[in-house]
Amino acid sequence: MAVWLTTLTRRHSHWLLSAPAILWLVVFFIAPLFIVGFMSLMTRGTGGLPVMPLTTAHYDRVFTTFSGVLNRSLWLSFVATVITLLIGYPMAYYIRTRKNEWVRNIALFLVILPFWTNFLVRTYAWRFILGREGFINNFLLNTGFIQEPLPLLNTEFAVLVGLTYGFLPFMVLPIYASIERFDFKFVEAAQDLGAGNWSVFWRVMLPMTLPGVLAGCVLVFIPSIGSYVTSDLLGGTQGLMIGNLLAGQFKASGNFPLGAALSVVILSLVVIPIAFYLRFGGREA
Amino acid sequence: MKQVTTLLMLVAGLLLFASVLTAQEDLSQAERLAKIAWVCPQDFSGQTLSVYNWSEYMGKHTIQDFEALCNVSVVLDYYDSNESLAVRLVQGNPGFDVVFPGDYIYVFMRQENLLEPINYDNLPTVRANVDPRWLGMYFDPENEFYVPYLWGTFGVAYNKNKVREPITSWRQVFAHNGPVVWIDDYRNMFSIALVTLGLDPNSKNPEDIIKARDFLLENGKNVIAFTPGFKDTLASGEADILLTYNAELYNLLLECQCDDYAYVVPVEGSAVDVGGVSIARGARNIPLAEAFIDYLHDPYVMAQITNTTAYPTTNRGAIESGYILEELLNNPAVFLPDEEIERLYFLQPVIEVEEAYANAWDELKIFLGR
Repeated sequence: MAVWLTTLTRRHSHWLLSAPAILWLVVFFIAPLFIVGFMSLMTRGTGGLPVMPLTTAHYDRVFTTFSGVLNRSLWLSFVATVITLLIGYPMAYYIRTRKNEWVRNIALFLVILPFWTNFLVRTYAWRFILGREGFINNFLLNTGFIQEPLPLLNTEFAVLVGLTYGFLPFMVLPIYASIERFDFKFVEAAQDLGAGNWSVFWRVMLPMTLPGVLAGCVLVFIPSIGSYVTSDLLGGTQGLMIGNLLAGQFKASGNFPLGAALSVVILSLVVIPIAFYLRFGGREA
Repeated sequence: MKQVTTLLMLVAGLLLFASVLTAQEDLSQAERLAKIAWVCPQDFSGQTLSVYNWSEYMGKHTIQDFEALCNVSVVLDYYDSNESLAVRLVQGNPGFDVVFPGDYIYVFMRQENLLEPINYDNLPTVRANVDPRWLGMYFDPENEFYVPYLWGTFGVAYNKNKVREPITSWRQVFAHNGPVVWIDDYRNMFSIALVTLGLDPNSKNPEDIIKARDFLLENGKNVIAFTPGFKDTLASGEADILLTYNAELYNLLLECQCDDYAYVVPVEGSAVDVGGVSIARGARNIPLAEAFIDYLHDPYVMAQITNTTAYPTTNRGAIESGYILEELLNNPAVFLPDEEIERLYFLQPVIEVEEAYANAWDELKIFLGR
């Protein structure tokens, strides 16, 4: 008995060890995925619930009526990713190159610190900063720079501010990890070989820290595409994103199959950057 | 008792809840019990009652005092939409005795046989105090399953410093030159467009729905958002006009301790919601459930419920008792003048054309943002 058991566990240990993970993935990832995929092809019934027969009508609707909002979501996510990269890379570089370890640790701590507060509350705070009678407008009005309050809140701009602010740490941390592993002797070597500052950055440092950059971009772009809270609180009618329309389908008297079709489309949009990352960024990271 | 319950509103709700509580006098339990005329009709000692309710839809001490009067214990559970209540009961009543359905869901709940009939003979306090205005509603003309509880309205809340002309018509809302916030609820918004166009607010004609959508698109240039945060959009100066529920505005006035905001039901009319109290099919303790419903309509008990929730009551005895806070009773945003009550309409189920409404609403949101 004991011998039989030992043989079994030895021979099949890789299966036994991975069983919990496989079970988890099947129950909580693959099965729901199929349910959502199937539901997206069903017809809307009473109260928005999915019923038979099957139809592709919801996909037609997603790619026609909803395309404007879909494009806006893609565009805003792309711009947010670029901005966080432009802010995040120099920030990570600056933190990494501080000589004093204490300064580095405190700076990293400050990057993570906002996570200690609820995301909803932090986003809400922007309403008070950007509002018509908010901090910025009041300051500009009082100092006489403007006569009429600027429309900052309830715009695409406000959504960009919210996304950039909310997801910046996701860009800084992976890049920091990459720069941390980067051996600065390469910089000296490149300089000895006559490379200028730009050359050193473009041809040595950036390629060697690219895995961190790609990881950061993926980590910012993906949650931006599906973001709901940021556009709900800051976007108003002008900054409506696909996540808001999706959420509406699952409320009372919405349209579950349409919501499922929207989910499938968003999922496909998210898979593209991940595939890109796995192809080009996954090797060292 | 609104279907839109986001975390955000919870934050705002907690703030206003705190302020409502501080506005109330705090009597000891003995003092409160002395003011309650209702007596426990029989010996229920040691029994249990299970109540399934909206959160913040009762007085601060309502349950506690009932437990003391009948020597029973009450188990509470909460739901956040009429639909979740109905779904829970469709799946099989897990043991709830008393539930609080909101008007239109009675249609579905009666159809699905989810409620026990009410015997008004066992509810003397209800019969003595309820305002007959709230009986015989479209969803239960014979009051077979429904006992009136609280009501509320949907209307226009606005900043009087920004909107100089008092608002009397929906057309003023659409024409306002300044930021306006709508509610993210298609039945309410489409009904407003329909009544403004002189059509039936519960229209089931797909052409009317398209007309209403186009009307809102043309007249929605001044809309900045669909209620992300209710009354704070008025308080922060973000919007001049907010379409919302009357209790929302009352709580804003309570918070700001000011007179800057007004609430009105426009001449074309707007939606009313009536919350009922009923016994769930399969209730385990019907006599105790009846006793509880009857107790709720004791004038003092009901006045405290209105004082806590800021929802007007359907109970005339409570209104006449003097127990309702002056600032609530005399506030035209809470207890509407009679002529405004007459303009109210119910949002009735439109299941046959629900998809047309939902689609038109998505389209409105998408194209308004262009």
